[in-house]
Amino acid sequence: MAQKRIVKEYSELQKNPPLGMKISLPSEADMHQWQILIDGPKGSPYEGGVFTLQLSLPTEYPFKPPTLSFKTKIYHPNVTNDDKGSMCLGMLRADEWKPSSKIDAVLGFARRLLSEPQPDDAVEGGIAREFKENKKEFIKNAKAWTKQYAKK
Amino acid sequence: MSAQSYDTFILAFSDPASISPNPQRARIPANLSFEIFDDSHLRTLSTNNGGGDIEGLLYVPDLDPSDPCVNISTKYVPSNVTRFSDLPPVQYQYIAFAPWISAACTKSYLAAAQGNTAFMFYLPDNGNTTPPPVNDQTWNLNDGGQWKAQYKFPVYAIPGSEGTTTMQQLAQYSGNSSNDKIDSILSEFQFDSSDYVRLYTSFGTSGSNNLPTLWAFLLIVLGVVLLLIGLTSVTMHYFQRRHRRALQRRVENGEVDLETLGIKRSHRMPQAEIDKLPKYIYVPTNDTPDDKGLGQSSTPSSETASDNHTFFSQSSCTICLEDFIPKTTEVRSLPCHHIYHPHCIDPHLASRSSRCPVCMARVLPTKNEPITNAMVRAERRLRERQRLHGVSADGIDGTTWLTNFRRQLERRRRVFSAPGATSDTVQPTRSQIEMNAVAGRAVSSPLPTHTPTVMSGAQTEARTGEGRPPPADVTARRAHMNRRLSRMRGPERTLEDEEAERWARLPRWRRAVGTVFPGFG
Repeated sequence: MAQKRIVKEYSELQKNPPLGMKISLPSEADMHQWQILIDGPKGSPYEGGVFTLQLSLPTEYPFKPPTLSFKTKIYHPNVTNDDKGSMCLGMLRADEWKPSSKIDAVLGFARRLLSEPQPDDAVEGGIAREFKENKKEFIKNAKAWTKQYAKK
Repeated sequence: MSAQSYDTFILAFSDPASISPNPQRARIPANLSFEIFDDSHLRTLSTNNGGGDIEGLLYVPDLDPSDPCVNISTKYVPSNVTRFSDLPPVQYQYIAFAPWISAACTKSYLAAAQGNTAFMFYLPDNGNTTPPPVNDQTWNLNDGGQWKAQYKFPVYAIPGSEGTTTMQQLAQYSGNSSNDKIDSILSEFQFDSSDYVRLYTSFGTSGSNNLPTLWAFLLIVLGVVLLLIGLTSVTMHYFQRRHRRALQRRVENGEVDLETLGIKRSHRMPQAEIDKLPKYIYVPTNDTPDDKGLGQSSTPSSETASDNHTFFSQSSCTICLEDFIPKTTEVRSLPCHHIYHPHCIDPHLASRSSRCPVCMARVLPTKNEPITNAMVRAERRLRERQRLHGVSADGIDGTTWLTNFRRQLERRRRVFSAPGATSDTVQPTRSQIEMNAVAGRAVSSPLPTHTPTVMSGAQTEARTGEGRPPPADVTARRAHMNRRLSRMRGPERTLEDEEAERWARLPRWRRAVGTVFPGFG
C-alpha cells in the first residue's frame, strides 16, 4: 500500500512540481527517501539560496507521518541547528498527521515555514528569541548563513 | 534514678500499732504547718536502686555515741530531732536526713541509715544555691566512689538553707518536743492523740514524674507527623484526581487524543466488528448505490440509499490515493461516511486504530475507560517535552525517576522528527531481530522490549519477498499486502505500558510511597 501510494504521489509531483522545488530520488531503488531542492522564498532572508531537504517516508506511510530534514544548514527557529537539521511541527507531528495528508501539502508547509517561521513552536530557542526580539539581527544572520551554506 | 524535685511536708497518720478501725492519713496544709517544695535545686548524688516512687518519713540516723561526729553534728542537729525510734517501725518507708559535714561523718551517717528508701543530705554552708555537681570534690568520700555501690539507695542533696529549715522542723515534729503543734493538728484533723504527725518527703524522679510528659510529647509529635502525612496524602490524591478529571475533560472535548499520542493503547477493532461495517459497490454521487450481490456485507440495509449519496462524493481512496472505479470498486464505509478500499482500511482498523484516517472519528463508540495517573503523567511530560523540545534538551529532567520517560520521549522524538532514526536506527534493529528470531530463535536481542513476540512462516515469506514489486495478480497482491500489514502490526507499546512496567520494577517501598503520595514518582 505504502509503495503504491508513494509511487503515485511521486509521479504526480514530478508531473506537477510545486513552485520553486525540484524533487528527485537519490537512489532509484528506495522510494522511501526523497531529495527536495527548495529555493528560498522571495522576500524572506533565505532568498537566493537553494536548500537541500530529505524527506523520509516510514514503512507505515501513510499511517505515520513522513519526516523532513534540512541537509543544508539553515538559520531558522524551527530547524535544529545540528547535522540532522530536523524539523518537527504542525502536520508532521505524529498526533496531528492524517493518512489523507499528502506529500504535496507537506512540502507546501515546509516552504511556507521558510517565509513565516513559527517562533512559538521553535526547536532552536535562541534563534526564536532573536526572531521575536531582534528581527534585524535575525534577518542579518539568516542572510549570512544563506550566503555561506545555501549558494546556488 | 535521678530526681528533679522534692517535696517535704507534714503528714498526720494513724498509729499502725493501734487497732484502729479505719487508719487515716492526712497531709497537713502548708499554711497550718510547713512545706518545702523545690524543683530546681535538687542534686542527685547516687541513683542506686531508685526505681518507683521515692518517698518516706524523714529521720536523722543515730550515730554511735563514741563517734566523734556526734559532737561535730550537735551544731546542726538539734537533740530533739526526729529519730528512727520516733517513727512507727512498720508499714512506712523512711528517708534518712543529715548534714554533709565531712567525709568521715557522712560515712558514719550512711552506715547508720536504717531500712532506707533514700538518703537526703544538705551542705550546711551551701546557702540556697543548688549543691555542687556530682563529680565535685565536695562529695569525695576518699573511697573512689565505692559508697555509691555499697549503699543500695539513692542519695540526694538539697540546698543548705532548705536543709537547715528542714532540720528545725524535724525537731519540732518529732514527738519529743514540748511544742503543742502536733496536738493541735491531731485534734483539728480528728486523729487520735497517740497518732503521728511527722515530716514526709517525696522525690519527683524522672521515672515517675517526667516520663509521662516525655511520652505525651512524643505522642504529640507522632500525631502531628501522621496528621501532616495524611494531609499531604489527601492533598496529593486530590490534585491527582483533579488532573485526571481535567485530562478526561480534554479528551472528551477532543483537545487531546491519548491514542495518537501513544499514551493509551489504541483501541483496535476485531475483524468481526470490521466485517459489520457496510460494503458497497462504488457509484458516483449522482447514481444510486448498488448494494446487491455483496454477500460479505452483513448489514448493508441499515444505511439507506439516500444517506450514501453524501459520502459517495469522494472519488478516491485517501489511503492509496487510487480513484474508485464507478460500479466496479468495492468500498467500505465508516460511520462518519468516509469510504475506503476495504483492503486499505481493514488492516488500519484491525492493527492500528479504530479511527477514521480522515476525520479521526471513532468507528466504535467511545469506551469510557478511566484515565489513570500514569496517563496524566505521560500526557504532561509529553506536553512539556513538546514545549521545551530543543530549547533545553536536558532542562526538564535531571532526576532519576524521569529517566525512563526521558528515554521513551527521546525515542518518540527521534521517530517523528529525525529522518535518520526511523530508517537507520529503529527499523533495521527491529528487522534484524525479526530475522534473527526467524533464523535462530535463540539469538539474544539487544532491544528486548521491541522484539515482536510471534513470528510466522508467512511473515518470513513477506520479508524475503519485500524487495520485489508486489505480485500483479489481484488476490496474490492482496495476500501479499495482508502479510506485510500483519508484520507491520507488531506489539505496539504505549507510554501507559512503559509506566506500568516502570512501576512494576520499583521496590515495594517506592510503590508504597507512590500510592500514599501519588505524583511523587
